[in-house]
This record gives sequence, C-alpha cells and structure tokens, in this order.
Amino acid sequence: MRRVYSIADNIVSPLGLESKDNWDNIVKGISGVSSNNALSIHSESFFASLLNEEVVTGALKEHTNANGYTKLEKMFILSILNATKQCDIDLTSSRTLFVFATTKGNIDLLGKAASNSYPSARISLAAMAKHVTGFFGNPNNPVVISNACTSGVLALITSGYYINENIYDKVVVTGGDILSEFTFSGFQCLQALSQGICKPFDKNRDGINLGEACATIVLSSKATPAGIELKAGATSNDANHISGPSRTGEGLLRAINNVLSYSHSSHSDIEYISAHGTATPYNDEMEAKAFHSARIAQAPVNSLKGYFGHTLGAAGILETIMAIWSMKKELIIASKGYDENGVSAPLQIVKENIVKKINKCLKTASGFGGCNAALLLEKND
Amino acid sequence: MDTLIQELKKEIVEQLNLQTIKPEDIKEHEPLFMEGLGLDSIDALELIVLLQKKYGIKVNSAEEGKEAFYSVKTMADFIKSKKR
Amino acid sequence: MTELFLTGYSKINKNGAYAADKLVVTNFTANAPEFLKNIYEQSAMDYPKFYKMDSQSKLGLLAAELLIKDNVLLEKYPGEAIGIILSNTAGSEDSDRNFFATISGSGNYFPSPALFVYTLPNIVAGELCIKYKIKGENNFFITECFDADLLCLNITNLMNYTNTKACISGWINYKEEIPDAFLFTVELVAGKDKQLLKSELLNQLYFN
Repeated sequence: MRRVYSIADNIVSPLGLESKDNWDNIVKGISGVSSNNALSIHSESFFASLLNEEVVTGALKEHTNANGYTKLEKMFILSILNATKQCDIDLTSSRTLFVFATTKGNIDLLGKAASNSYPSARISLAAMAKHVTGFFGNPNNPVVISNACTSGVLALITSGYYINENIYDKVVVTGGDILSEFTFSGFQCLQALSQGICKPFDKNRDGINLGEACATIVLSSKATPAGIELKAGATSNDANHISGPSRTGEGLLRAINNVLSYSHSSHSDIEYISAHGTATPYNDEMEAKAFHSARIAQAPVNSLKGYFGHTLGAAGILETIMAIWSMKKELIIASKGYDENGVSAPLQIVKENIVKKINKCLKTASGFGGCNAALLLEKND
Repeated sequence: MDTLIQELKKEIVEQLNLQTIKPEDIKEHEPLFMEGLGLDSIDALELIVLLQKKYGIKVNSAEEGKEAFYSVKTMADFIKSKKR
Repeated sequence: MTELFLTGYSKINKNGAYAADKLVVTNFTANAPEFLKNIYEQSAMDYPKFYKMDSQSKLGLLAAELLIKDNVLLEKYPGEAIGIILSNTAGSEDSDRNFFATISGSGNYFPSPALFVYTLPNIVAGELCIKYKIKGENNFFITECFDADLLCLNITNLMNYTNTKACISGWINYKEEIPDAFLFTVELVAGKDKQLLKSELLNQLYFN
C-alpha cells in the first residue's frame, strides 16, 4: 500500500492568493470576515468573507483572459495554477487526476438567462469541473464530490485511496464555493448566520459567517522534504436529522475512533485538533462532546472559521492546509472569536498562538445530511 | 377569532405540507411541537416564514416564536396582539 | 484483490419500479410526483416523513425500500458497518429551483427553510441513513452519466481500507421531473446468485 503525502498547496481567499499570505495573515490574527454591502447577495449589510472577483481575474491575466469563466471557475484555475507551480507535476498526464469538492458550484448562474457571461449548462457540477480540467488539458474525467460541508475532507480521503492503490501518481484535490444570494438566503432563513464575526465554541456564539475560497492540495505517493502524510481518514453518518447534528456526537465519535484505529494511533497521540467549529450552538456543542468521548479533548483545539468564514466545499481542504502549515511551522493559531467557554464539555481552545511541535494532528468536519469526517495528518521527520 | 383559527389551521397544513393531516384534524389547544402534531425545528422556522408572508409579522428568533407557536390558539393570540 | 458481490438491486424509472427484475409498480404517468406517491402507497411503508421530503429524496427512499425489503442486509450487519455511496448528475437541481422560486419573484422574498435543507445532493443519502439507521462511510459523486467504474472503485476502496462490510450504492437522479434510480447492495459474502461486482454487470442492470 502506497502512502499519501501532501506535496504542495494553495489557498485563494480574501486573505491572499497564496498559502503563505493566508498563513501570515492568520498568524497576525487578521480575519477575512467583514461587514459587506453586496446587493446581489442581500438587501442589507452582512458579515461574510467575500472575495473580490477582480483580484482573481487580475491574477489570472498572465495565463488566460478568463473570458467566459465564472467566478468560481477562475478561483479554481488560479488555485490549481498556484499550487501546482510549486511541485513537479504533469497536469496533462493520464496518471494525474483532478478531484473537486464543492457544495453548490456555479449556483450563482441559477435564474440567469444563458449567455457567454452566464454559461447555464455549467450549473451542473460535473460540467463545471470538466471545464476547469479542460483548461489544464487533463484527459481524465474529474471526480466531483458533493457531500455538504464534509466535501473537502472527504475529497482528500477518497483521493488518498487512489494513491494507496496506485491508480494515479498524483491527485490534485481542489475545493471551492462562492457566496450567492441562494446560499445566503438559505442559511439566513435557517437562522444560522452570526450578526458579527463568528465565535466558535464561545459562550456568546450566535451562528456562522459564510466565506468564499478555493483551496488545493497536490497528493503524491512520493514524499518530499516538505511533505506531510495523510495517514488515515474515516467518515460516518449520524442517522439522526438532515440538518442538525446528533446531540451526542456519536457519529463524529465513530469517525474519530476509526481514524485512530486505522492509523494505529492512541487517543493521547493527537497533539492538535483543527475542528469544524462553525459557531452554531449545536455544532460546537456536538463536536466538544465527541472530542471528550474520544478522549482527545486534552489536545489544543482551534477553529479557523473566524478567519475565513465557513467556506463550505473549500473548508475541509483549506483548513487542512493551514493545519499542515501549523505542523511545519510548529505554531498553532489562536481560535479567533473565542473568549469564554460555551460548551458543556470544555475544550483546550487556543486563545493565543502557541509554539508547539506537532507530529499528529486531527482535522474534523460535519455537515448537513448527518455526515461526519475525520482525517489524521502525520509529520515524519 | 374563529375565522382566524380556521384560516391558521389551513395555512399550517399548506405551509408545512402536512399531507396526512386535514385542517379540521388539528385541535386549537393541542401542542404543535413535541407531542400533539409533532412538528420539528424546521417546521418552526417555516411557521416564522408563514407569519411574515401571510400576516406581515416578523418573528426574530425561534425562541421568540416558542411561546407563540405552542398551539394554534396561542398563534392566533400572538397574531392578534401584533396586529393591534 | 478483494472479491465483492452484488447481492441485490432495485430500479425506478419511467418503465416502472423494480425490486431486482420483478416489476412492482407500473402506471408511470407523465406526472412524476404522482408516480412516486403511488409507489409509496403500494409499498405500505408507513413513514409519514415521506411527505416532507423533496422528490429526489422520495425517489431514493422508495428505491431503497424496494432494495432492502426482502434483502436481509440490515439484519446481517450493524449500521456502522454499512456504507452508502451514491451518485447522480442532477445534484439537487429540482430542489434548487424550488428554493430559488421562494427568493426570486419580484416582491416575493420568502426563503423557505424546509426547501433549503434539501438543496444538497447528499441529503437523499442522509434520509436513507435516518430511515434504515445506516451509520457507516458515506460519499456522493456528481458525474455526467451513470459511472459504474467510479462506483466499483470507490466501493472496493471502502471495503479494503475501512470497517465497511456492506455497501448500498447507485444512482439517484431526479431531473426535470424524470425519476431515474438504480440502487444495489454489495457485500463481502456472496448472495445466492453469487454475482461478482463488476462494472459490466452494473451497466447491464442499469441500461436494460
């Protein structure tokens, strides 16, 4: 069985167009979440992490005039370009696979009459992905995973098996979602949105911020000096409710226990947890319970949603990238928005950046449809 | 008051897509949530939409709605009080 | 290479509703919602939640009921050992349009929570997990058309690398009011038909 390594990564978000810029900003405590007035999304001002499309278009100029590509497609193309330029990879090879994670794709095209600017056929997630891989000349059908907010972590796990089985030499795993009136109205009518910058695990948390981003990881069976290993992954279903997590966290607990088992890790091996931490009353409470039941709650925990917002399809990949950077830089970032404990089973929430050597890190995610996912990252020195 | 209650029962069935229940089956004092009709959290949010759409009343949170949504009767009382 | 076995299947499309090759419900009219309602009523399921679901979830639930009813899968395996890998091309298009209609009429902005919660493709998997207490690995792929190779590969990976002992997999697609469902069960132990899981077999069953 081949092992799976992350050999390159990129984040395109309001905090920067390279992983380093994003990292530097969160080290400084800078958040991409702010108050916005964007009438195309909502009639009143709202807090979110919105990415300026012109910035993306401008950055792409040297590669393409970006005509006819949607905002999300441009984000994908830029992120893939910026990730893959860092490593040795042939994007036109049949031994290279693209795997996409997205919840709603080009949903901003819905309701718009078809035209060059609004390629309505690419509301289809599969068509969108194919259009992006077409830019790179890749001969394979891209794999598209759409499994709510676990999509990103799930895409990494699924791709990992492809590497394990030597079906492909390299997999470009890329996740992204844009903020649209569709998504905004939906979360708003569920009363899931925060009135300010979100506060994961905090006593006064009142909901999520939505965020736009695209994040890409290149996976390979060959380690590089900079590589972190994706050691094991697991998913599960709560089998309880389609939009609320199980109150006991037993689904997430099962995924965590399975990951520990598959990676031959003990609960005490986990040195840092990058939580899903969306800042809804229910998610954070459930996650805390699950971490305690799994006996990993002694590890420092953060949620990055206060910096990036909830980036849906991108989240699992984006947050895994920042976890990888934490492992390489031996620095755990403060969990933005946290002041006072707000869960019944208190966690070691990081309040200020901590210097720490991390060999094993756990990334968790949960989503609508009762799904959960856990991924174990390992640093081999 | 009676017409409002009958109207409400009809609208609840319609808004919540309660295919197995007829408006006349709902008792006005019967709890809507937990026991009685057994509605859930998503239904509560839909009732908030109903109040806005049909009666122009804004309920700002599920908590605010909790008392109001106890039964059809309390909903009718709530609507009456907001319309004054 | 681990041998995997196809141990059951079901189909729902314009030709009717099938439990394996046995036609259970015909009378597909041009009205898909009516058709689904007929299948539900004939199934004697007694599951009032059915009526709250969107059409794609109803389709998935009915296909699953036809698949699992006589198949002892749920008795043989604990929920944690059963995985669910589904796919389609529509995403959640039907529900997307229904939700969008609640925010897009002029002067008509009343986003519906009950519609919004169905605007993700994996919700149908979530509904199946709730009904049948399936708690294992889950995944949802969006493909241009039914992709047997993709499903076989990912089912095999799950069986090889996780505690998954059985899998419900297939295609649940509700697009432009055309229901198209094909579900099958995969196990490590052979069914009485002793059919090996192979792409060719899946394509044969789906396309005929």
